[in-house]
Amino acid sequence: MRLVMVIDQSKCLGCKSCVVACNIENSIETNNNWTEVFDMVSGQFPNYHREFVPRPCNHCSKPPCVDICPTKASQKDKLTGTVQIDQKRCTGCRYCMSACPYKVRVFNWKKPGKVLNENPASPKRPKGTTEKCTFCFHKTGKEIFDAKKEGRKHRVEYNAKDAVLPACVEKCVGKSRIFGDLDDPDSFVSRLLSKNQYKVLLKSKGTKPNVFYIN
Amino acid sequence: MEKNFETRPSVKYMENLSPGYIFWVAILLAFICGGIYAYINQFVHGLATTGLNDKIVWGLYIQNFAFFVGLSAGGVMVASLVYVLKQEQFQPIARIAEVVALICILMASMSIFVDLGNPKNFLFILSNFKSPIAYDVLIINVYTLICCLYIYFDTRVDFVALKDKFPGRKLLYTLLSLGRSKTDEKTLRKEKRIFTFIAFLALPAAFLLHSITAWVFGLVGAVPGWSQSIIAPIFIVSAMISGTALITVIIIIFKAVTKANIKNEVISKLGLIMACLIPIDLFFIVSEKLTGLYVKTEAIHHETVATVIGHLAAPFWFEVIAGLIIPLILLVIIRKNNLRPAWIVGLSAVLILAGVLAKRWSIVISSLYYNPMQYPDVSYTPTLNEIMIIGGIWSFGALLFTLAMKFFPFMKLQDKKA
Repeated sequence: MRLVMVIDQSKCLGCKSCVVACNIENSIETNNNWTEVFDMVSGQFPNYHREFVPRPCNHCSKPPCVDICPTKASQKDKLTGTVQIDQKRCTGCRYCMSACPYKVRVFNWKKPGKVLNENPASPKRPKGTTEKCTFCFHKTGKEIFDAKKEGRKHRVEYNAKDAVLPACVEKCVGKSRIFGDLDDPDSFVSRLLSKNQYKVLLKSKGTKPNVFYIN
Repeated sequence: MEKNFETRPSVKYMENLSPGYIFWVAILLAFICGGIYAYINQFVHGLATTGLNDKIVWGLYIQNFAFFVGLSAGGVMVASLVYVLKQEQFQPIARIAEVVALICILMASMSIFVDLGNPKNFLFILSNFKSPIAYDVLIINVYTLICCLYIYFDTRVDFVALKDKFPGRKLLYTLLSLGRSKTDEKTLRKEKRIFTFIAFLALPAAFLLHSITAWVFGLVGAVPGWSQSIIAPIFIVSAMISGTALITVIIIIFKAVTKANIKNEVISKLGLIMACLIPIDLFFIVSEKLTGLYVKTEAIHHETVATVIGHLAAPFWFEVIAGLIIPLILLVIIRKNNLRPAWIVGLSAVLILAGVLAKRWSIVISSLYYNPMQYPDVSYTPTLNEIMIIGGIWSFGALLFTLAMKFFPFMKLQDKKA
């Protein structure tokens, strides 16, 4: 399984409701956003181009943060193909933060403050450890692990009625964020990527990101 | 042997405690207490007490870590002048260099430890051998062990001799010599062989130590200021320069305080070593920056422009002008009785140390300002808490050396061949 996100930039309004949804789901204060939406403007009015670039963690296929982590706290999850951090091992050296070309990772510089209506399912966030977007592993990953334990076949399908999706995908107003399994040739993301031209962020860094942008 | 002992350098300075000495130790202890307080503060409130942020993740601690590692490796390189390159004239300073190397590597370990956000997971740090940091921690430990053995096999005989000289400190010297008090010829010859082996081992270990520290930065592809193939040679040369400079400063102070028999020729020669290393460093700097400025591959060009003519240029030019060019001119031009005067060599050494510290800032911290995505620009200024912790570590190192002056035989008491 290889969980990926496809972002249809033509449908992104730049409303940042994904950022809010993420913060609510994972009980994060606003200064520690796990996802961002960049507002990129090039040129001068009236000849200008403006695009919104939502940025979750890229969950790279060749993640430099995993190679570089001395404690093996950053790991590539074998079942889902996502990059996850084991907070119980992280010693807070912040080496991975410098190694990430996208600067996705954030650090708990102090003990995380209380958030209104804290989500009880959200992951624990100890002081002095690194964290980042997990593709809502506590929801999506749990579903996949449960299915594996019970021995039933599980498909991550964006269009399915009972699909378990990351919070940002669920709450995206323009349905710009699309989530699925790229190893499954029938999935919506596979079909999207075979039909459309796509690009990834900072391709030259050789990290093979798993977040694809179509326009 | 007893007769021989008396003609050897005086150990008088080890006996009495002058008011100045006590005052100096008290100042250092005060700074150490300040550092401990600041660390407790950081431990309780997290790294939010530092000026770091999510984009500039490493600051004063790692800058000083790289600096101390360089000083330590440089110290071993100076000591190996005597035992590997057989330059017997440097014999009187070899032990000071060894001890400084050991103290500096301890300071380096401390400054990397205070940088950790979650120190209770520290022991996991050796689990991934794909990570340069794991190798760095490993080599630091091996190197510290080598430094200890180096000092032990060099000074054990003198510890035994001092046990007779100061009956009141019998326990201390028995501990330092690990209870071995044999001084017959066979043991000495055997120890001399072990010592020579360790002296030869220490030199590659010092090179490896500083190269791996350079590769901790050099293997991070996401930071163009770090991931350059020349980074290890640059680190090695500045380690040699700064190590020599620190030992020069310490020797000048040591000589002034203890009236030890260190000839001015030796200090002048140390000046010569620094004057020879500075052009090599300048050469590396020019070849690095010239490539970055001329080749307009986006990332590295952007980075070099920022650190050479942009808003991050101050530490770079301080390093080049105050840390390299001025000392070079001073060391080459000024002569008196065909020797470089000690104060000129000392002044140059201090300038070089400040320059290398600025260079570490330029490499470690300025490189992290690179921002390929569209994040808002951030900057880093150390907080008082950070400065207090680093001040504590500096004082701890100074205190160790100050205390060592009272019990450690820095001047060889007797020849091992005897």
